[in-house]
Amino acid sequence: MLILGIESATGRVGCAIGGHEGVRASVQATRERRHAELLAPQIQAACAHAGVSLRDLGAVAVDVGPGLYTGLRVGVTTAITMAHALRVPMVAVGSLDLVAYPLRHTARTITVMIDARRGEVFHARYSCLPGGVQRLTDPEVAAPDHVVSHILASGDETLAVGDGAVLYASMLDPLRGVELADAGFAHPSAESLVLLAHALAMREEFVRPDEIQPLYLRRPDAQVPRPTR
Amino acid sequence: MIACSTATVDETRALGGAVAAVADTGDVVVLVGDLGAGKTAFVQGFAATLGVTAPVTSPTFTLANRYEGRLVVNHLDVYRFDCPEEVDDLALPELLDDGVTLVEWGDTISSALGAEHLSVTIRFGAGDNDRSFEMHSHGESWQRRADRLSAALQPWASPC
Amino acid sequence: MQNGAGNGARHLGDAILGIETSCDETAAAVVAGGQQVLSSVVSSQVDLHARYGGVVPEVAGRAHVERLVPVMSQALVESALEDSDIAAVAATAGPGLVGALLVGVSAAKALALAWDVPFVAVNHLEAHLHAAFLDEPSLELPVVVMLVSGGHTMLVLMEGRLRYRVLGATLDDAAGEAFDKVARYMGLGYPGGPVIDRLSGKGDRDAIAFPRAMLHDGWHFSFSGLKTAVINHLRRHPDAPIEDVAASFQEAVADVLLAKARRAAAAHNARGLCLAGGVAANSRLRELTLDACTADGLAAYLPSRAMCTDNAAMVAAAGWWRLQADGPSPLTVGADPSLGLPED
Repeated sequence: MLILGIESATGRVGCAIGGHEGVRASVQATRERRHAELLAPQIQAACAHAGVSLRDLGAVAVDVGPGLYTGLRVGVTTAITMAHALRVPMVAVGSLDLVAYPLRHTARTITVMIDARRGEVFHARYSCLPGGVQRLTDPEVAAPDHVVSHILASGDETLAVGDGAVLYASMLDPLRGVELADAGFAHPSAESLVLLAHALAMREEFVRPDEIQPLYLRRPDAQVPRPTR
Repeated sequence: MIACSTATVDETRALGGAVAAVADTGDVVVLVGDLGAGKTAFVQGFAATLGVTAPVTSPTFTLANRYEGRLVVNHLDVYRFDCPEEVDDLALPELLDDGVTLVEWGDTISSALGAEHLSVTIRFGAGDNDRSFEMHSHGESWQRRADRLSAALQPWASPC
Repeated sequence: MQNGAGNGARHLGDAILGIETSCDETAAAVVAGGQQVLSSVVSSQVDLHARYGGVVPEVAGRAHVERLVPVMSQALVESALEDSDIAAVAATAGPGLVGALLVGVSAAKALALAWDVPFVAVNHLEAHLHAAFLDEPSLELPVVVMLVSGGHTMLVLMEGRLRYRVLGATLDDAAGEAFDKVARYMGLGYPGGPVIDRLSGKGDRDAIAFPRAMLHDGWHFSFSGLKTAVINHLRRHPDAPIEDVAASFQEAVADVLLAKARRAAAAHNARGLCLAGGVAANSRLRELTLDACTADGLAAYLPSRAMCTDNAAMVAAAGWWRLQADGPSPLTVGADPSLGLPED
């Protein structure tokens, strides 16, 4: 099954196309606040590189966050609209899962930290399984020192990764048993999205476009109208 | 605390401009004062100093205006926000990191704005256009700039 | 809601899907040939924003993501067209709230890619200028348009579908903003326009002589002083009947708008006066426009409330005209929150 993956949860934006044989094309760029300008041409370019038409797609996968709201909404809107128009199912994957996935061969526990601005990070912990990662905690938004105390309390040998881990490296570096992953792994990638989504698609873990919601974490109830004062 | 006073709207604008001269990206300025006190005039002067050329009006229709100048100026009106949780609906973390942010009526929600901010309280004076200002620096970054701020506000300083 | 069935010949090759998400309405519409409205669906978020007393950009952005696909689907179903009948997709690219605009622009580009049809970026103000034509196909140019809403107040001389000049604009508050501020001060809630309109019906519009700023000079407007005058009046006379205050305030706004529009029509030999934007739903403004046109021998173009307020039919119509004139927009176009009206 051919899958288009759309990822825009951090300062980076991109897409990839692939299937059972792996990733066939990917285009990514880091330009904050320019996600809407970049994404559609990136999709065109990825199709051209892969030599496929959008009509060949079997599913659209999207990074649903958590991440920076404005960029996240560009990717999620593009993905749900495209899946709806092409009448294909969707696969939703979280940004923290995408950052953990490329490190699936480590023996250590993985802590993913994505910068949430104003001194906070989105974070979760993962352990590795054969061929993948398993999330141990629900995604949360917290101050980095809170994440540090989590790591210390666990006593696990930890690999810290994500742009939040890079940003707060000075808090993580002194910790015994904690290592910082290479900065090249700091952002969720569209390639990981396509690979993870393909595995989920094989298990038929699809969602409908109208079931997809960005994971904001702050104020999840914002849409629920409450009585006016 | 710095106390100042102005006698015209133009003076209030100039006062806002003087505060802007010591401001930087990530700063938060909380403006407290009744309707008509001159909060918007203060923001107009503030934005002008930062090179904003677009007309600045109070953000009543959309509660968060954004202006591009030498720095980005965010202008929020949270008149009807009365609990810090509601403030999350403004997506402040992304907004605040992006530019200088001025919040009208911010005292009701100051806990959500973080420890670092300058609070400006405006009161009506004896004459129709007389206004008095009280500025308090909260947090290290504003306290570090306290001397520069006092110097910039010298022309309007009132005896304490 | 208007359905094309039975409206005569359809130009299926010219059907455009329009998308509007610039502020607090999520809207989609299908319009054929830039004129025939096959469907127009608007999902208002006013209930979400009312408790804050104004539009909260982040709340608007979230709601647009949630509502846009269902609204688009409904517009297509009501148009009775197939996806394959859509010749282009148009979306508002500005001015407006950037986080809200991005949702519509992203969706429109995704549809254009998926259906392999052109994408057209539309200026929201230009779309408002086209709204009147959808209700009044025989509208005769040139007209002077009073474009008045929560975000904008301008006087535009429209000489052709894509040929117009901004004669004047507000120097401070938009007219709709003045309504919101006065309503807020009087504790009447949000949005302020409808409630002031309603109260005014029971008040004396000559009770208080509020200032008419710049009534006789130039084409620009200023409503900030009027707002302050209303507040000062209420401060000095806390017991003033609010109906009288509302009616006198509304009269001052409408007076200034009409005085300038009439002068503009005379100066430029316009054939009519036209209203556009949310404040155009104000009953007193409509009444005074009709009176003025009768007195001056002008045609009065008063689009329906649905066409005055934000909708996607006007976006599809403006998109059709832009597509004929300029061709498709590049997919690299983003949202521009402070986009101005393109003048030639």
